[in-house]
Amino acid sequence: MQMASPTEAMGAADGRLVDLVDGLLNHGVVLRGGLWLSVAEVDLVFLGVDVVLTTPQKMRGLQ
Amino acid sequence: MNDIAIGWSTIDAPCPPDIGRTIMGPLVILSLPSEQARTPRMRMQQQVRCFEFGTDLLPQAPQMMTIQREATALADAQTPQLLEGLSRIFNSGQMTLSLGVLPTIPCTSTAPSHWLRDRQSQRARANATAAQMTQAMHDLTHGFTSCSLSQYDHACGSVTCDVLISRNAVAVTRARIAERAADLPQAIRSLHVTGLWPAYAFANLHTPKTELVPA
Repeated sequence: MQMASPTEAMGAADGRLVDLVDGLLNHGVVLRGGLWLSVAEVDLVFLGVDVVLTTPQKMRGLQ
Repeated sequence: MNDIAIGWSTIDAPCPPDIGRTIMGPLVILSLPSEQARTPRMRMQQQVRCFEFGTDLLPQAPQMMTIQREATALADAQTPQLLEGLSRIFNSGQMTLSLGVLPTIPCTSTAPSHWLRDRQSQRARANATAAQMTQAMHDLTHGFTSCSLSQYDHACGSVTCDVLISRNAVAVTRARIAERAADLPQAIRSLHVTGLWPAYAFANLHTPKTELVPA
């Protein structure tokens, strides 16, 4: 059993800890495009997509 | 206004002095200049720093780069959801547990009949491993009220579970897990326990519903 603080985990070279931190990067609040369609309080359809809202310049800078 | 939002908090929460605070009613948007939050890992480091300072933080997913204006729009549109999320994680953080076995070895047979048979037995072994790992994680986290369990990852040979615990229960929780780890099946090669993290896995927002009125 190996224990690590967040700082240790983020600086670790151990493959399992790197995977673990990478997994956390995707969690948290995301801006989500979503729409519930319902009639008379009966849910019929959910449309959802995760979106990145940013400028083209910033996207080019990230690539 | 090119600051990058790293999360939301409440107006009365403590916060490191160099973190930007934009007050919106009962909510506060926490942000940083873009050069200090360029990459997902940089954003995560800042969120961890805030959390360790004592900020109750509903963290923005580090993978997402959200500018201040977008975070403001979200706070405007979803104030009740953000407040509900903040109350869920009040004075708490997540401990992340990861169990690992050796990854499944891909079959190497080339003869069609052998290949199919090998694939079947490989799949049966993988399913048995997944069930064993999931059960072991359930046993390890039994009694924790808020858990978020991942699917078993066949490629990595691991299963992960995030547990929401009080900030002052870290030592007790580590001791409890260490005690239970003694009973893990021998096939399990590793157990990693990390934390306390900001409550990433418990920061989901619920999408508001839109009601269609029949004509």
